[in-house]
Amino acid sequence: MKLLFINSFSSIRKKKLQIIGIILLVFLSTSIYTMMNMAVDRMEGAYTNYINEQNVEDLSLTIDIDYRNSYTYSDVLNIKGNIETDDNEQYIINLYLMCLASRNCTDDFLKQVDRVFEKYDLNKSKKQEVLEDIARKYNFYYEETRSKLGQNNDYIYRVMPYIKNKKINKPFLIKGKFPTANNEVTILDGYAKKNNLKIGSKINLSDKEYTIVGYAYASDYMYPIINISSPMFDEQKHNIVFMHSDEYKNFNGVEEIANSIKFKKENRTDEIVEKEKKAYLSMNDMLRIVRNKSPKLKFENGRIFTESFLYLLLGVSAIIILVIAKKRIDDERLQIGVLKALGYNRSSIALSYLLYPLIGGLVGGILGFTFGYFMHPTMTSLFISYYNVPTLKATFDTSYLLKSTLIPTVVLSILTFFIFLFMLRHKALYLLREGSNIKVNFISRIISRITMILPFKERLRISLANRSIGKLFIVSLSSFLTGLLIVLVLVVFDLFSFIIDKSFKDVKYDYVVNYLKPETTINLVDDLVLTRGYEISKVYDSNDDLKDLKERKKDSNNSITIEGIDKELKYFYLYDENNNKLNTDLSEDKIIINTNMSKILGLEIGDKIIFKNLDRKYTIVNITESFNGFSAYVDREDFAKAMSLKLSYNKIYSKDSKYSDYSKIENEEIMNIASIFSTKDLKRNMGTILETYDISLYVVMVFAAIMVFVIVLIIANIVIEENKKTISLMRVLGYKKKEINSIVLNMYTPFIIISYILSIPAMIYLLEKIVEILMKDIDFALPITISYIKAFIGLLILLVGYYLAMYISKRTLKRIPLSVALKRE
Amino acid sequence: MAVIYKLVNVSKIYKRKNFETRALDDINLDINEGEVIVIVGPSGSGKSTLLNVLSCVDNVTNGEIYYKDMNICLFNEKSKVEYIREVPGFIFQSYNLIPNLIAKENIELASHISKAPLDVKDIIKLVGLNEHKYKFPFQMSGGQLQRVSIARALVKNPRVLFCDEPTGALDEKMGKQILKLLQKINKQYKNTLIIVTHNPSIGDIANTVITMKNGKIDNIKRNEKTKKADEIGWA
Repeated sequence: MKLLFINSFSSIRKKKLQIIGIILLVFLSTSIYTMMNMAVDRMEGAYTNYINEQNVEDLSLTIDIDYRNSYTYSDVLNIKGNIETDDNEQYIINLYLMCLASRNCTDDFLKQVDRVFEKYDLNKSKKQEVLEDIARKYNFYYEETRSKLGQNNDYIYRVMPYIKNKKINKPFLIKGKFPTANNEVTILDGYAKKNNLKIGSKINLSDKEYTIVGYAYASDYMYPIINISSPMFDEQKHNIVFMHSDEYKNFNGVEEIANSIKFKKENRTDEIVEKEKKAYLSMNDMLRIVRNKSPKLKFENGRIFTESFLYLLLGVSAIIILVIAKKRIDDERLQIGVLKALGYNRSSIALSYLLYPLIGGLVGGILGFTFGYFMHPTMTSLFISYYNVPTLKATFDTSYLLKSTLIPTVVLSILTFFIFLFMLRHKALYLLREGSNIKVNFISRIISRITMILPFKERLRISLANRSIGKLFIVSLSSFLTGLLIVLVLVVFDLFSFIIDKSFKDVKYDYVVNYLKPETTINLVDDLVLTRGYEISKVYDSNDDLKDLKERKKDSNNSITIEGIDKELKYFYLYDENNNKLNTDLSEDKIIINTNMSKILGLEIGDKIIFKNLDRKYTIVNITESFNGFSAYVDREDFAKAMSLKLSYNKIYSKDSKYSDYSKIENEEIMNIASIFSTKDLKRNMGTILETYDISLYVVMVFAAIMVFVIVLIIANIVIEENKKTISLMRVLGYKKKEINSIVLNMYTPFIIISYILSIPAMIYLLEKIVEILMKDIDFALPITISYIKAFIGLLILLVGYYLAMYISKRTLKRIPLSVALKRE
Repeated sequence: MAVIYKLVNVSKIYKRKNFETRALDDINLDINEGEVIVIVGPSGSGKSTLLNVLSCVDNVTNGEIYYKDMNICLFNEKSKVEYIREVPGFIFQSYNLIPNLIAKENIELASHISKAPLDVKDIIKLVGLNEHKYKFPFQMSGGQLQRVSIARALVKNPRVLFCDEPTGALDEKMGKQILKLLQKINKQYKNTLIIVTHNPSIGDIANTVITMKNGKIDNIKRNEKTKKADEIGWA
């Protein structure tokens, strides 16, 4: 046995490129696996640890005051007596008393009442009552989380009071200390670095100077979106500041108060959102969810992507290794025949060839693990760079070492052993017989007969190509696999720009303005939208049979943003996937849904939807191509009626430049504005969300691209090796290099092209399946398409790579003298 | 008789790590056109190497080889290819046929690139392969395979036929048939036939027998009378 292994080892030494290729393939697969999974593990660990240690909120809620029912006449009378208001406000309170008595308060009037009550913070105790009640019911405790927004030119910062014994959302100190005096603050370490500040430096906030005493994170700002209009975190210009609580009280800035909730036992968010009328998730509450939940989502998706592609890459490696193994057997046929004739059995000969997967698996796996281990901190930093989460120290995880080395080695060894066992089935005499390897199979003979009518050159090419149907299959299969990887790279490459471009196709508005409460003021200039979130209650198909939605993850957000729009729109349009503009006359309970709703929830044109708490049965008439959450469009007037509201709007699409500057907007309007987005901001917002996924994909793409070249090099090497004798013979006969290339080396080109073409739909199908798995967790129906131009580019990449690899392999052939090449084996 | 090849101080040296092998050691030789030359010698004497350098399959280390008046050692790649196409025809011991081509196609492989090839059908008939022209190599015997190899070499209408152990893998009967065919070709086409063999009996069909030993020419013998292939002994 020892001699067999020595013999096998010297064969390996002679064909270094092949064993290097195997090692490289295993290395690529295992390094990406180790790197990504260790990074994700570390981040997930850091995230979970952080959530627990800092007791980060599960949810925040906004309490809605129903002015018709929350206050009695005597409550309001009491309030009136205890506050000092101006004449107008006094008038409003008096009117409020009157309408309470007569029970005919209008919505518009109550908006004014709300402004006054909020201004004087009169709702505090009522809101407290409601919150207490809900807390008892749903078994949670709560705490106020306050912050104020400050701005200094481009610099935006959120200021928070440092509270030593804060129960929920405890701040995290990175370095230094928390403020103990009024002129002390902590800031973000990233901000300090970008602005050349350090502990001890001075910082100016709202025209007052403070001393930086430490760096700290606000644990409820893991993804630190400072405010709703600045969705992309800018490390240089955005900051989170903790100051002394007394100093905070006097700080001048727009305050935000969140009721941060922590469930004592199970998370009952869904129940609260569904059942509680007095509590809802405001835009700020939803933003808080994004800040805290987006890291987890990113980590999970990173893992799904890498695990899926690891198996693909390992699968490709396994096939290539088997190709090489088969080649070894063919080349060493005589040797194997001699061994068998000497009495060595199949198993012992097959065992000696296990050196290939053993060396490839172990060496490639160990190198891959080592590389992955040392690179994973870089990957961790890349992933976590957007987040304010302290990372845990790296630990040496032996399970990854085992997985990186054992899995490929064992799997490949088992496969190799049984394949070799099968291939070694011939008797010794057969293997030793001259020409036993030159038998032409039945199919090749048929092809030879059929091609007799062709000119000699074509006949020769076809004959050489189908010399071994098995080898042809292997070259085709390898090209197919390489094609899969190339298509993967091409599809992913500009996927996100495609989504953003599609989402903002033909957008003519510059601003989107969201209002706190519905407006009835006449506006003939802008596109008016009445929007609200609803959950789907029931769905029927076109035959009116009840239909189930596609299965999603348990705590998925199923809220649909319904936008009531008018028939004629000036600034934005809805398009289907073929870029046809959609008719927005949606009277008679018609609804247009978006791509996400269609692909993720499984809704189709013709289906009928009933939403909870909305007395309408809508029929889906079209699907608009947009990838922004779950959105649906209905007739505005009808929608208002369904919600028992007057014809109103709480969102507009506008081109009015006044929305670029708050100072240009009338006071009356400002009081009711929740947020203003510019189109530029919206694009960035989407880009930010998409960025969550792209790092993992780009890493996989880079590795896939490297694998493409490794595989192509191996295939080219095999093709040259396979045809070494034919090439040498043709040189001896006097064929020119060009003629040899044309006949011998180009003969596989048609098969490579066909295999690549077949790989395109195969990869798209595979990606769609992976996206389907992901879509259960994310509200994004990633469109998987490839344009003809991209497909052609992919083919060029493959062919260029193939011919380049051929060129490299041919150079080794040139070094062999013709006389040696033609010698009897 | 005109001289077709002139070798002047030709050496072929293989260098390996700490030692060198002189496969050809200062060879000086004239080969006459139209003759049958047999090169004999023990294994490793340099006879195949001599064949290879004459046919441009291999390069010399030192010296010059003239084909007629042309120094073939100075050929660039283009000239080399032209020379290989038109002058030599090569017959190998191991036939070196392409397995996926039938006999006829293996022959066409050579005629395809020749400027003035002989008629393939005529050649097939000459070598006695008419019933076997549509067979694949694996369907033919050793003798038939060698005939295909000969036909492939001959169809180019070469000036010189180089035969490296053409009967090495054949038995006496088959071997003599092949030698008979080679003699017939030499007579009919008036080409020069150079045969390398370890079988000294084959020297009896030659006009000149060159004996090689240790890379040098040990002896050159001219036969006054040549024998027919049927009449020779068999070592």
